[in-house]
Amino acid sequence: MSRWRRIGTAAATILLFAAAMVIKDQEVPLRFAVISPVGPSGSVGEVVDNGLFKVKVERVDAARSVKRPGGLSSTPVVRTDHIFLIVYARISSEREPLRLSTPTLVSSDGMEYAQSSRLRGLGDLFPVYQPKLWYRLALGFELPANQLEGARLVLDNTGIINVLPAKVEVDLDIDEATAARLRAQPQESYEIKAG
Amino acid sequence: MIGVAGGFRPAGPAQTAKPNTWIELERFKIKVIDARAGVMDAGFGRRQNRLAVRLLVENIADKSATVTEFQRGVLASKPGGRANEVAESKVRTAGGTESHFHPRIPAEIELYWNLPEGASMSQVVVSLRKWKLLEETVSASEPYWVVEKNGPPEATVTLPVQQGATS
Repeated sequence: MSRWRRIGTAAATILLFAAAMVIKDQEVPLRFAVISPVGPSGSVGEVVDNGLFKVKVERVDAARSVKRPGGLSSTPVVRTDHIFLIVYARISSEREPLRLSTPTLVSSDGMEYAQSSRLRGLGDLFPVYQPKLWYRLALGFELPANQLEGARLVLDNTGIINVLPAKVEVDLDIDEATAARLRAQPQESYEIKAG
Repeated sequence: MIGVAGGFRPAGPAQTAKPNTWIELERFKIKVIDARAGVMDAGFGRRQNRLAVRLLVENIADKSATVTEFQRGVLASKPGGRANEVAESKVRTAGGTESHFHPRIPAEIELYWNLPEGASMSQVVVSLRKWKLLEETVSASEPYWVVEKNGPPEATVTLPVQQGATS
């Protein structure tokens, strides 16, 4: 091996080590390589289809307290000082078993609220949706009451090893009047209807 | 298992703050409330000598953050000692446990560090690491938050530890 080649190899090795140190020192989350997909959008009552899976939002309710949907906690009722928004939808995969990433509610000013783990039942921790079947979803979100207007539901299947990410966005049809109504009459001890 | 009495990283200089005052970092607003230590329940019937620190946390970024992400940004040490990462955490909410800090919704979290058997401490230094939002310039991946593990923490809070806690 020539002298210059050895020097080049040594330099490349040092650079690789330096890069590894930099990566190690940054607490890089798994989202590192997650590509943000594009997808179709629709509104309540419409079937929104991205070719891989389709979603139909049927109803949206608001609550201040919710009876836990059969979880491990001994606390039977979950409360918030803000508001719980419960979105009922149906989902169907086109060709293969589908695993969604955490469902998200996006407010009109771009805040992204992940599905609240307090409102998840044991049965919907790691759901897989088999192709050609329709499944019912009941997705609960906790958010400040002033974030209701213009909120959209975003469902996607992005993941670290998914090379074909896809999503759908559904406008929840919460205009100013609907937001005011939901804020004014959030339900107490609301019971999530099982899927 | 990481014990707060031992460790591997010297705590560096940082902005100091008082307990029960808001500290604003890039991603979170944090109030360190109090600390206690003693042999307490560690789940699954285990009793463990632990340090527990209570914080009030508000996510001031625009996306929900997981509790695991948050706890990477907090260290504890004895004054002048070495800082250690969190062993476990619990978010205190009205009913159930929450796995995220949602934007603009403050929540109380309790962080735990395991202590060697019989060890006690009268004061603890809680260090808060710096958060940065990184944006990829060569790919279409979304911007993501990282916590800086090197360099001094963004802020430290020194507070007394109530001894003899049992829960």
